[in-house]
Amino acid sequence: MEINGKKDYNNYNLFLCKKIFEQKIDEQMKTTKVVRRRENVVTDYEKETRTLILRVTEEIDQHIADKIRKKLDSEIEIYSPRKVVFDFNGIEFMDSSGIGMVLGRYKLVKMLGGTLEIINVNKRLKRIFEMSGVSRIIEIKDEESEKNERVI
Amino acid sequence: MKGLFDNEMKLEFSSKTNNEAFARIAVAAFVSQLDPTIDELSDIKTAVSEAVTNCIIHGYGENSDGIVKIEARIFLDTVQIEISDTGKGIEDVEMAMRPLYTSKPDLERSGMGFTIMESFMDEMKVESALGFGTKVFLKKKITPKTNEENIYQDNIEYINEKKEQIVDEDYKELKADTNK
Repeated sequence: MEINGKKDYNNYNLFLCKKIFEQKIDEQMKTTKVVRRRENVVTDYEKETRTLILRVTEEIDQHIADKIRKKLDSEIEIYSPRKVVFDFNGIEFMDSSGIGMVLGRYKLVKMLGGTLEIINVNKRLKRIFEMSGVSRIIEIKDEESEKNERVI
Repeated sequence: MKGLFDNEMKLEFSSKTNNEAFARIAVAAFVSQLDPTIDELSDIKTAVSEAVTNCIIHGYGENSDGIVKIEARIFLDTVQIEISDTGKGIEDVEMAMRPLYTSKPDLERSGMGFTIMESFMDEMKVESALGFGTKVFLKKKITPKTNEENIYQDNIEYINEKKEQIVDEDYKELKADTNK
């Protein structure tokens, strides 16, 4: 910034301008909320335990089941997890498309030598899982049994 | 009362899977005028969703040019829903209705559609003609909540009397038992 002991005012002004501009942007970023479209099918992978967790926030019908299927299949291929967890927390509705989707994933995970678990299932979903016999193959933990486990 | 039914609605939409949510929510909104419980409403939503999925996946074979038609009627406290397509039809209805039978295992269909419809609704009927399409009739009675409450309120004195009698009789029995 200094030439022969004197400040280079041309460059210095430019430098100040830049700094002020950056500060302003930072402030704006802090005050404005970043609005992003909420993704309704989200997966998390925990490296240490090699667990893939799926969270869904939408009613599961044929349309959403297809979406989940595509996403999970590619992620299972990438990570080859030891355990896959379906977190159905907050899901009030599922039809038979969900059953097919879950069974398909179960076969895939089992083939790769892993296990599958379903947690946070409400009464209605549990009834559908029991009707179709899924609960005989796959471990299903409902909301109540989870609470009891915590108490114990 | 106008006509035979108290209320009636008709709905037609393209056979695309992203219309399923719209279809079941529309029917649920129509039924909600009967003041159903949350369980009853989700029973109807699940059954409608199964029927509509069947129309789209099996009837039209995922060809989105087709039209799925829903007609719903309310008569007193029962809902009648007709869901129809003009797709390829079902060859053997009895076989299709068998639990876990599916004609499309490659699409990971579970074969539980008709079973779920049957167990969640009071009545279910399937009519189908090869090459002409399929029609599913669903029927469910909505328990009138307000009526039960009214009956209880109207007869509250009688119920209380009965209650005292029953308690007295129980008490006598208990005494007799202890005396023995």
